[in-house]
Amino acid sequence: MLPHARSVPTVALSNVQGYIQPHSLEGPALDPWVAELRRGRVDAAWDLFLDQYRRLIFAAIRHYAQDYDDVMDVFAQVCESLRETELKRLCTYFERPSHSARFSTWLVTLVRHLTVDWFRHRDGRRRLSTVAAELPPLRRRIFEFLFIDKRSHVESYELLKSSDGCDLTFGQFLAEVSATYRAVASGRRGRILRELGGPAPHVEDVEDEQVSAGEGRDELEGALACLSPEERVAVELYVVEEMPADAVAKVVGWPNAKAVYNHVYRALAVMRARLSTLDGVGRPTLGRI
Amino acid sequence: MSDFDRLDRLRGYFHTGETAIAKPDCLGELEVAALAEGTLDAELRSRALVHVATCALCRRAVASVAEALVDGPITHEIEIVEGRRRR
Repeated sequence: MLPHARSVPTVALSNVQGYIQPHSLEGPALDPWVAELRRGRVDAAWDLFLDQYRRLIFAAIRHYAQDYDDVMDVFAQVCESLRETELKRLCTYFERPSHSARFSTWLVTLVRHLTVDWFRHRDGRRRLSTVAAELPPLRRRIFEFLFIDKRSHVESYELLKSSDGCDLTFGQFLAEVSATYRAVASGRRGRILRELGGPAPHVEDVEDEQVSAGEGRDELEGALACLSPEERVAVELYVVEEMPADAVAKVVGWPNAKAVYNHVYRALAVMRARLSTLDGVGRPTLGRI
Repeated sequence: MSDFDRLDRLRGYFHTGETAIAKPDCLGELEVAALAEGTLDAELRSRALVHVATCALCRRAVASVAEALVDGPITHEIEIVEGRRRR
Protein backbone atom coordinates (compact mmCIF):
# COMPACT_ATOMS: atom_id res chain seq x y z
CA MET A 1 0.00 0.00 0.00
CA LEU A 2 1.29 3.46 -0.78
CA PRO A 3 2.14 5.57 2.24
CA HIS A 4 -0.30 8.24 1.16
CA ALA A 5 -3.20 5.85 0.88
CA ARG A 6 -3.21 4.94 4.55
CA SER A 7 -4.40 8.14 6.15
CA VAL A 8 -7.74 9.91 6.09
CA PRO A 9 -9.48 11.99 4.87
CA THR A 10 -9.20 11.50 1.14
CA VAL A 11 -10.55 13.54 -1.71
CA ALA A 12 -10.80 12.95 -5.43
CA LEU A 13 -8.55 15.28 -7.35
CA SER A 14 -8.13 15.25 -11.07
CA ASN A 15 -4.50 15.41 -12.06
CA VAL A 16 -3.03 16.93 -15.17
CA GLN A 17 -3.57 13.81 -17.23
CA GLY A 18 -7.27 14.22 -16.59
CA TYR A 19 -8.03 11.02 -14.72
CA ILE A 20 -9.42 10.85 -11.23
CA GLN A 21 -7.28 9.39 -8.51
CA PRO A 22 -7.76 9.52 -4.76
CA HIS A 23 -5.18 11.48 -2.82
CA SER A 24 -4.89 12.06 0.84
CA LEU A 25 -4.83 15.64 1.98
CA GLU A 26 -2.89 14.43 5.03
CA GLY A 27 -0.11 13.64 2.59
CA PRO A 28 3.08 12.26 4.05
CA ALA A 29 1.77 11.95 7.60
CA LEU A 30 3.35 8.52 7.94
CA ASP A 31 6.57 9.25 6.07
CA PRO A 32 9.81 8.49 7.93
CA TRP A 33 10.79 12.14 8.24
CA VAL A 34 7.50 12.95 9.96
CA ALA A 35 8.01 10.06 12.35
CA GLU A 36 11.46 11.40 13.21
CA LEU A 37 10.02 14.87 13.66
CA ARG A 38 7.43 13.52 16.08
CA ARG A 39 10.19 11.82 18.03
CA GLY A 40 11.90 15.19 18.34
CA ARG A 41 14.87 14.13 16.21
CA VAL A 42 14.99 17.30 14.18
CA ASP A 43 18.27 16.74 12.34
CA ALA A 44 17.31 13.25 11.26
CA ALA A 45 13.87 14.49 10.18
CA TRP A 46 15.46 17.27 8.15
CA ASP A 47 17.85 14.92 6.37
CA LEU A 48 15.03 12.55 5.45
CA PHE A 49 12.75 15.41 4.39
CA LEU A 50 15.38 16.94 2.18
CA ASP A 51 16.23 13.58 0.66
CA GLN A 52 12.58 13.14 -0.31
CA TYR A 53 11.64 16.66 -1.36
CA ARG A 54 14.87 18.20 -2.68
CA ARG A 55 13.94 17.61 -6.32
CA LEU A 56 10.45 19.03 -5.91
CA ILE A 57 11.86 22.14 -4.22
CA PHE A 58 14.35 22.61 -7.05
CA ALA A 59 11.63 22.09 -9.67
CA ALA A 60 9.47 24.74 -7.98
CA ILE A 61 12.38 27.20 -7.80
CA ARG A 62 13.33 26.57 -11.43
CA HIS A 63 9.76 27.36 -12.45
CA TYR A 64 10.56 30.97 -11.53
CA ALA A 65 14.34 31.26 -11.75
CA GLN A 66 16.67 30.07 -14.47
CA ASP A 67 20.11 31.35 -13.55
CA TYR A 68 22.10 28.63 -11.79
CA ASP A 69 23.42 30.95 -9.10
CA ASP A 70 19.95 32.34 -8.42
CA VAL A 71 18.50 28.84 -8.13
CA MET A 72 21.19 27.76 -5.67
CA ASP A 73 20.84 30.92 -3.60
CA VAL A 74 17.05 30.58 -3.44
CA PHE A 75 17.42 26.90 -2.51
CA ALA A 76 19.69 27.88 0.38
CA GLN A 77 17.13 30.46 1.47
CA VAL A 78 14.28 27.94 1.28
CA CYS A 79 16.28 25.43 3.34
CA GLU A 80 17.15 28.07 5.91
CA SER A 81 13.53 29.13 6.17
CA LEU A 82 12.26 25.57 6.53
CA ARG A 83 14.94 24.62 9.08
CA GLU A 84 14.62 27.61 11.36
CA THR A 85 13.23 27.14 14.85
CA GLU A 86 13.43 23.35 14.64
CA LEU A 87 11.45 22.99 11.43
CA LYS A 88 8.67 25.21 12.71
CA ARG A 89 7.04 25.69 9.31
CA LEU A 90 6.86 21.96 8.70
CA CYS A 91 5.60 21.37 12.24
CA THR A 92 2.93 24.01 11.75
CA TYR A 93 1.58 22.15 8.73
CA PHE A 94 1.28 18.87 10.62
CA GLU A 95 -0.04 20.40 13.80
CA ARG A 96 -3.23 21.49 12.04
CA PRO A 97 -6.13 19.20 12.86
CA SER A 98 -7.00 18.92 9.17
CA HIS A 99 -5.46 19.99 5.89
CA SER A 100 -7.23 21.72 3.08
CA ALA A 101 -4.36 21.24 0.62
CA ARG A 102 -1.95 18.42 -0.14
CA PHE A 103 1.48 18.74 1.45
CA SER A 104 3.20 18.85 -1.94
CA THR A 105 0.98 21.73 -3.11
CA TRP A 106 1.55 23.58 0.15
CA LEU A 107 5.30 23.10 -0.31
CA VAL A 108 5.18 24.42 -3.89
CA THR A 109 3.20 27.43 -2.64
CA LEU A 110 5.69 28.08 0.15
CA VAL A 111 8.65 27.80 -2.23
CA ARG A 112 6.91 30.21 -4.63
CA HIS A 113 6.45 32.77 -1.86
CA LEU A 114 10.03 32.42 -0.65
CA THR A 115 11.37 32.66 -4.20
CA VAL A 116 9.40 35.82 -4.96
CA ASP A 117 10.45 37.31 -1.61
CA TRP A 118 14.09 36.46 -2.30
CA PHE A 119 14.04 38.22 -5.67
CA ARG A 120 12.12 41.17 -4.26
CA HIS A 121 14.67 41.55 -1.50
CA ARG A 122 17.70 41.05 -3.72
CA ASP A 123 16.45 43.26 -6.52
CA GLY A 124 15.02 45.79 -4.13
CA ARG A 125 16.27 49.28 -3.81
CA ARG A 126 19.87 48.13 -3.79
CA ARG A 127 20.21 47.66 -7.50
CA LEU A 128 18.40 47.37 -10.76
CA SER A 129 18.56 44.13 -12.63
CA THR A 130 20.88 43.88 -15.59
CA VAL A 131 17.83 44.00 -17.85
CA ALA A 132 16.58 47.24 -16.32
CA ALA A 133 20.01 48.84 -16.48
CA GLU A 134 19.95 48.35 -20.24
CA LEU A 135 16.60 50.08 -20.65
CA PRO A 136 16.24 53.65 -21.89
CA PRO A 137 15.88 56.16 -19.01
CA LEU A 138 12.07 56.51 -19.12
CA ARG A 139 11.50 52.73 -19.16
CA ARG A 140 14.09 52.24 -16.44
CA ARG A 141 12.15 54.73 -14.32
CA ILE A 142 8.92 52.88 -15.05
CA PHE A 143 10.66 49.62 -14.11
CA GLU A 144 11.71 51.17 -10.79
CA PHE A 145 8.19 52.32 -10.00
CA LEU A 146 6.45 49.09 -10.97
CA PHE A 147 8.90 46.35 -10.09
CA ILE A 148 10.95 47.81 -7.28
CA ASP A 149 8.67 50.31 -5.56
CA LYS A 150 5.59 48.14 -6.30
CA ARG A 151 3.56 51.13 -7.47
CA SER A 152 0.38 50.68 -9.47
CA HIS A 153 0.28 51.89 -13.06
CA VAL A 154 -1.78 54.91 -12.07
CA GLU A 155 0.55 55.85 -9.20
CA SER A 156 3.57 55.46 -11.45
CA TYR A 157 1.99 57.69 -14.07
CA GLU A 158 1.16 60.37 -11.55
CA LEU A 159 4.65 60.20 -10.01
CA LEU A 160 6.27 60.46 -13.41
CA LYS A 161 4.23 63.57 -14.13
CA SER A 162 4.66 65.23 -10.75
CA SER A 163 8.21 64.36 -9.70
CA ASP A 164 9.92 63.68 -13.01
CA GLY A 165 8.09 66.36 -14.98
CA CYS A 166 7.25 63.83 -17.65
CA ASP A 167 4.71 65.11 -20.18
CA LEU A 168 2.95 61.98 -21.42
CA THR A 169 -0.73 61.20 -21.87
CA PHE A 170 -1.89 58.14 -19.97
CA GLY A 171 -2.14 56.25 -23.26
CA GLN A 172 1.46 57.12 -24.15
CA PHE A 173 2.53 56.13 -20.66
CA LEU A 174 0.82 52.74 -20.98
CA ALA A 175 2.58 52.21 -24.30
CA GLU A 176 5.89 52.77 -22.50
CA VAL A 177 4.79 50.42 -19.70
CA SER A 178 3.93 47.76 -22.23
CA ALA A 179 7.30 48.16 -23.94
CA THR A 180 9.03 47.91 -20.56
CA TYR A 181 7.18 44.67 -19.78
CA ARG A 182 8.06 43.24 -23.18
CA ALA A 183 11.73 44.09 -22.69
CA VAL A 184 12.02 42.51 -19.26
CA ALA A 185 9.74 39.53 -19.94
CA SER A 186 11.64 38.47 -23.02
CA GLY A 187 14.69 37.62 -20.95
CA ARG A 188 15.50 34.56 -18.88
CA ARG A 189 13.92 36.16 -15.86
CA GLY A 190 10.58 36.84 -17.51
CA ARG A 191 8.51 34.62 -15.23
CA ILE A 192 9.88 35.96 -11.95
CA LEU A 193 9.59 39.52 -13.20
CA ARG A 194 5.93 38.92 -13.93
CA GLU A 195 5.57 37.77 -10.31
CA LEU A 196 7.23 40.94 -9.12
CA GLY A 197 5.41 43.32 -11.39
CA GLY A 198 2.04 41.76 -12.20
CA PRO A 199 0.52 41.36 -15.66
CA ALA A 200 1.28 43.92 -18.34
CA PRO A 201 -1.40 46.26 -19.64
CA HIS A 202 -2.64 45.93 -23.22
CA VAL A 203 -2.22 49.51 -24.16
CA GLU A 204 -3.25 49.46 -27.78
CA ASP A 205 -6.82 49.40 -26.49
CA VAL A 206 -6.72 52.77 -24.81
CA GLU A 207 -8.75 54.90 -27.14
CA ASP A 208 -9.63 57.93 -25.09
CA GLU A 209 -6.46 59.36 -23.64
CA GLN A 210 -8.20 62.42 -22.32
CA VAL A 211 -10.05 60.47 -19.69
CA SER A 212 -8.01 60.14 -16.52
CA ALA A 213 -6.76 56.73 -15.44
CA GLY A 214 -8.45 57.20 -12.10
CA GLU A 215 -11.85 57.61 -13.73
CA GLY A 216 -11.37 54.47 -15.79
CA ARG A 217 -10.34 52.55 -12.71
CA ASP A 218 -13.32 53.78 -10.68
CA GLU A 219 -15.76 52.85 -13.41
CA LEU A 220 -14.26 49.42 -13.86
CA GLU A 221 -14.21 48.95 -10.11
CA GLY A 222 -17.90 49.88 -10.01
CA ALA A 223 -18.72 47.41 -12.77
CA LEU A 224 -16.75 44.63 -11.07
CA ALA A 225 -18.55 45.38 -7.81
CA CYS A 226 -21.81 44.31 -9.50
CA LEU A 227 -20.49 40.76 -9.71
CA SER A 228 -20.46 38.09 -7.03
CA PRO A 229 -17.00 37.35 -5.57
CA GLU A 230 -16.92 34.06 -7.52
CA GLU A 231 -17.75 35.77 -10.81
CA ARG A 232 -15.30 38.57 -10.19
CA VAL A 233 -12.46 36.17 -9.38
CA ALA A 234 -13.35 34.08 -12.43
CA VAL A 235 -13.28 37.16 -14.70
CA GLU A 236 -9.96 38.33 -13.26
CA LEU A 237 -8.31 34.89 -13.43
CA TYR A 238 -9.64 33.98 -16.86
CA VAL A 239 -9.34 37.35 -18.58
CA VAL A 240 -6.40 39.01 -16.84
CA GLU A 241 -4.29 36.15 -15.52
CA GLU A 242 -5.11 34.10 -18.63
CA MET A 243 -5.62 30.94 -16.60
CA PRO A 244 -7.19 27.99 -18.43
CA ALA A 245 -10.94 27.71 -17.80
CA ASP A 246 -10.66 24.30 -16.11
CA ALA A 247 -8.11 25.69 -13.64
CA VAL A 248 -10.40 28.65 -12.92
CA ALA A 249 -13.28 26.20 -12.31
CA LYS A 250 -11.24 24.48 -9.59
CA VAL A 251 -10.47 27.76 -7.85
CA VAL A 252 -14.04 29.07 -7.76
CA GLY A 253 -15.66 25.68 -7.20
CA TRP A 254 -17.57 25.35 -10.46
CA PRO A 255 -18.00 21.95 -12.09
CA ASN A 256 -16.08 22.45 -15.32
CA ALA A 257 -14.63 24.78 -17.94
CA LYS A 258 -18.01 25.25 -19.62
CA ALA A 259 -19.42 26.71 -16.42
CA VAL A 260 -16.54 29.19 -16.41
CA TYR A 261 -17.25 30.27 -20.00
CA ASN A 262 -20.93 30.73 -19.19
CA HIS A 263 -20.35 32.66 -15.97
CA VAL A 264 -17.58 34.85 -17.39
CA TYR A 265 -19.48 35.86 -20.51
CA ARG A 266 -22.60 36.53 -18.44
CA ALA A 267 -20.51 38.61 -16.04
CA LEU A 268 -19.00 40.57 -18.93
CA ALA A 269 -22.52 41.27 -20.21
CA VAL A 270 -23.48 42.63 -16.79
CA MET A 271 -20.36 44.81 -16.75
CA ARG A 272 -21.04 46.00 -20.27
CA ALA A 273 -24.57 46.99 -19.33
CA ARG A 274 -23.31 48.86 -16.30
CA LEU A 275 -20.53 50.64 -18.18
CA SER A 276 -22.83 51.55 -21.04
CA THR A 277 -24.78 53.74 -18.65
CA LEU A 278 -21.64 55.69 -17.75
CA ASP A 279 -19.38 58.09 -19.55
CA GLY A 280 -15.75 57.09 -19.32
CA VAL A 281 -12.82 55.15 -20.61
CA GLY A 282 -14.44 51.77 -20.23
CA ARG A 283 -17.59 52.44 -22.21
CA PRO A 284 -16.65 52.50 -25.89
CA THR A 285 -14.73 49.24 -26.12
CA LEU A 286 -16.53 47.23 -23.47
CA GLY A 287 -19.70 48.12 -25.27
CA ARG A 288 -18.53 46.04 -28.21
CA ILE A 289 -17.52 42.98 -26.21
CA MET B 1 -13.98 40.52 -34.04
CA SER B 2 -13.25 37.08 -32.54
CA ASP B 3 -13.85 36.19 -28.90
CA PHE B 4 -10.08 36.06 -28.45
CA ASP B 5 -9.68 39.59 -29.78
CA ARG B 6 -12.47 40.81 -27.57
CA LEU B 7 -10.88 39.30 -24.49
CA ASP B 8 -7.54 40.72 -25.52
CA ARG B 9 -9.09 44.17 -25.75
CA LEU B 10 -10.80 43.73 -22.42
CA ARG B 11 -7.47 43.01 -20.74
CA GLY B 12 -6.47 46.56 -21.53
CA TYR B 13 -8.95 47.84 -18.99
CA PHE B 14 -7.62 45.91 -16.05
CA HIS B 15 -4.41 46.58 -14.16
CA THR B 16 -4.38 50.30 -14.54
CA GLY B 17 -5.18 51.11 -10.97
CA GLU B 18 -4.49 48.30 -8.58
CA THR B 19 -2.05 48.72 -5.76
CA ALA B 20 -0.64 45.35 -4.81
CA ILE B 21 0.04 45.71 -1.12
CA ALA B 22 -0.14 42.88 1.41
CA LYS B 23 -3.01 43.26 3.87
CA PRO B 24 -3.57 41.64 7.26
CA ASP B 25 -6.34 39.47 5.84
CA CYS B 26 -4.28 38.19 2.90
CA LEU B 27 -4.47 34.43 2.45
CA GLY B 28 -1.93 32.11 4.03
CA GLU B 29 0.05 29.56 2.05
CA LEU B 30 -2.30 26.71 2.89
CA GLU B 31 -5.36 28.63 1.67
CA VAL B 32 -3.60 29.70 -1.53
CA ALA B 33 -2.54 26.09 -2.12
CA ALA B 34 -6.03 24.75 -1.45
CA LEU B 35 -7.66 27.32 -3.73
CA ALA B 36 -5.18 26.59 -6.52
CA GLU B 37 -5.75 22.84 -6.37
CA GLY B 38 -9.49 23.20 -5.74
CA THR B 39 -9.67 21.41 -2.38
CA LEU B 40 -10.83 24.18 -0.07
CA ASP B 41 -14.23 23.31 1.40
CA ALA B 42 -17.18 25.34 0.17
CA GLU B 43 -17.61 27.59 3.18
CA LEU B 44 -13.91 28.47 3.47
CA ARG B 45 -13.69 28.92 -0.28
CA SER B 46 -16.56 31.41 -0.29
CA ARG B 47 -14.87 33.38 2.46
CA ALA B 48 -11.49 33.29 0.69
CA LEU B 49 -12.97 34.38 -2.64
CA VAL B 50 -14.45 37.51 -1.07
CA HIS B 51 -10.87 38.54 -0.27
CA VAL B 52 -9.33 37.29 -3.53
CA ALA B 53 -11.91 39.27 -5.52
CA THR B 54 -10.32 42.52 -4.37
CA CYS B 55 -6.71 41.53 -3.66
CA ALA B 56 -4.36 41.51 -6.63
CA LEU B 57 -1.55 39.93 -4.59
CA CYS B 58 -3.58 36.91 -3.54
CA ARG B 59 -5.09 36.53 -7.01
CA ARG B 60 -1.60 36.51 -8.50
CA ALA B 61 -0.45 33.97 -5.92
CA VAL B 62 -3.35 31.63 -6.69
CA ALA B 63 -2.84 31.98 -10.45
CA SER B 64 0.90 31.47 -10.07
CA VAL B 65 0.55 28.29 -7.99
CA ALA B 66 -2.13 26.93 -10.33
CA GLU B 67 0.26 27.51 -13.23
CA ALA B 68 3.12 25.85 -11.34
CA LEU B 69 0.99 22.79 -10.61
CA VAL B 70 0.67 22.03 -14.33
CA ASP B 71 4.36 22.65 -15.04
CA GLY B 72 5.79 19.34 -16.27
CA PRO B 73 8.85 19.04 -14.00
CA ILE B 74 6.82 20.00 -10.91
CA THR B 75 4.01 17.57 -11.76
CA HIS B 76 6.62 14.86 -12.31
CA GLU B 77 8.21 15.42 -8.90
CA ILE B 78 4.85 15.62 -7.13
CA GLU B 79 3.87 12.27 -8.58
CA ILE B 80 7.14 10.80 -7.31
CA VAL B 81 6.87 12.16 -3.76
CA GLU B 82 3.26 11.03 -3.60
CA GLY B 83 4.25 7.55 -4.70
CA ARG B 84 2.38 7.64 -8.00
CA ARG B 85 5.51 7.42 -10.11
CA ARG B 86 8.94 5.87 -9.69
CA ARG B 87 12.04 7.95 -10.18
